[in-house]
Amino acid sequence: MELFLEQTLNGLQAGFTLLMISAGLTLIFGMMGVLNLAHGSLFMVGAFVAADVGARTGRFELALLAGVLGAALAGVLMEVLVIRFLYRRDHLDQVLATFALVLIANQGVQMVWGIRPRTVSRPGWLEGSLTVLPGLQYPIYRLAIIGAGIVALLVLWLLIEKTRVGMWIRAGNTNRELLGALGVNVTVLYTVVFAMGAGLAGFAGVVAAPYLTVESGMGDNFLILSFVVIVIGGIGSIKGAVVASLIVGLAETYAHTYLPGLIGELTDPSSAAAIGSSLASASIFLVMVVVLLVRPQGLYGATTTT
Amino acid sequence: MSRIAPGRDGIPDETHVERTTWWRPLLITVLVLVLVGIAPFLVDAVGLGYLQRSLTRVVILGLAAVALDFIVGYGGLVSLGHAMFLALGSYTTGVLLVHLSRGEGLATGQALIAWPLSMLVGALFGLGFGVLALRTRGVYFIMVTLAFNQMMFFLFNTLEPYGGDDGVRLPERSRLGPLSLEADLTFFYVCFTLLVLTVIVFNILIRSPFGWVVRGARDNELRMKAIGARTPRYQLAAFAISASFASLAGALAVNESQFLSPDISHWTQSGELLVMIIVGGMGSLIGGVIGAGVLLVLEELAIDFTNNWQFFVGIGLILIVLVARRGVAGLLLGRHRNV
Repeated sequence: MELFLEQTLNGLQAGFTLLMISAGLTLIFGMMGVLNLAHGSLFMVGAFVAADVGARTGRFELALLAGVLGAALAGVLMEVLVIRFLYRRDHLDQVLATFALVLIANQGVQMVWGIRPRTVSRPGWLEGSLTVLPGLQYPIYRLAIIGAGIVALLVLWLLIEKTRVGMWIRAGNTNRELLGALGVNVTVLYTVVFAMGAGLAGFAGVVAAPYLTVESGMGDNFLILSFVVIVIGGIGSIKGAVVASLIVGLAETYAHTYLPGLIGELTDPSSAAAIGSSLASASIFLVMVVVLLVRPQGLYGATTTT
Repeated sequence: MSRIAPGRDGIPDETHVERTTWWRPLLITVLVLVLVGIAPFLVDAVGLGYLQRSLTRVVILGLAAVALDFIVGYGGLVSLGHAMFLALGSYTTGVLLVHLSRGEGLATGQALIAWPLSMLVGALFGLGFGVLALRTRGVYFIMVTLAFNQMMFFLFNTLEPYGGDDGVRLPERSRLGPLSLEADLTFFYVCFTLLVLTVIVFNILIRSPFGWVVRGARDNELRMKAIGARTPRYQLAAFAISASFASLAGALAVNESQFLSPDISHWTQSGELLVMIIVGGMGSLIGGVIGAGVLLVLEELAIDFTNNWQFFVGIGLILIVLVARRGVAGLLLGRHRNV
């Protein structure tokens, strides 16, 4: 029972990390119609900037701030220099140009920070564990990630649903020309939204970095996982992204915890570990397969004719 | 599509497209293949003999790019998962070779068995993944194929008997009938022959009624359904054929490198195949070979000057996408793409 609770918390933490990436990705797609393969690179840039600033100052708070700002700035550069020209192009052009951005980013971080992997250390005041339930100790830092995920999400929701900028964003989703005709500077608005999504991905990169190795290409797998999230949740839907992120985070964590044991009871334990871990890696994709079979437009996706 | 002139009702109308003479694409295809065929002697003559092995890779990846262009350029199905089919071919042929060297059962070094088997495996997985991925279209299709690619990448990485993520060396290449492929030049011409056959097969396919349905579904799937074509079946068949030939390329690739590694299924390999199509010219088939040539030779030359060639490839690619969308073949053919 304690193991189950602990793994549930782990799954939630993984889910919220994923959510911070996929929320931005789906927001950008919903509004601008651009499939951005380089979104995972923004996650990576956030982690690298934080590792650098963290190593120089020893302060996690500064590292976090720098990571978010660095990723947002990288996002602005991306949007202004490349993405902006892709809004009216077909998806193949978008894939190729943003794939090129991935190559540039993966090589770029090596050119700036070298090929040696880096680390980000947790802040001192979030060290240690908390007794969540009698007999269940859980690291405070992981709880903080869950908390940060919830806060980030609430801020995003308030921004989109309750502010004037949010109203523009929703309007831009529906009709870009009309929004422009009403006197909103759509070009700037798009850049701002892109920077927000980038900052959120950078934020995810910084908070997840203490559990990861900060290295070139570290964002790629997160990018692909957030694609799975979007396919499950339905494109352009923040609500879908929330539900699907948590499903994927929990499914992966449970599968890694329980599958090897289950398979061990069926076959001999020595091969069970290997089979179990490959099945666990495949489990989230199986969730995607089920969704594709039952509801190809995603859980919260709009039904389309094509 | 943007370059196709709109008809009166605003719907792209292909009668407005500037046509080229029918023999021009064929002439360019033949010229490119002849050039590739004599390339080993050309590079030798100008003292770049060290490029020979790269040429074999150009041929192999060009073959995969031709297969990919069939569904991307003619089918309108952008697959970002073709590296997994390369890997399936590599692992089918590679595992049989590894077993042979270890004296285990289920082994063969005979290419006439292993390579068709690789194509069969590729086709079967192509059918399986195709059924699922073709539940979607457009941007979803891209994401789903990429996700499957990543899943297969993870699975290959956990194949511990075959080296897991480290991979495993192959002591020898396949044998083609009685013919040994250990000599690089022999191997090059075997790959080249298969490339020529592949180009011929796909050129026949795109001109067949089957090919016209696939192309029609790209331009307007609803209209094709309305005239009674069951487009999903055609698209599935096209996807599986394309996957099968990609697996053949994978079987050749593992023979070329003599190293069985999950890296060939990395998603960036899928991206690079797409890049080859675009650089060479999408929807021309032979463009895939041109693109593979441009990319690999540039890489080979650039690596002498900089370790950061990927950075510059990225910048070049962005420029191509934003400015020179039609690729090399498009420039040579002097026409609008895909017609």
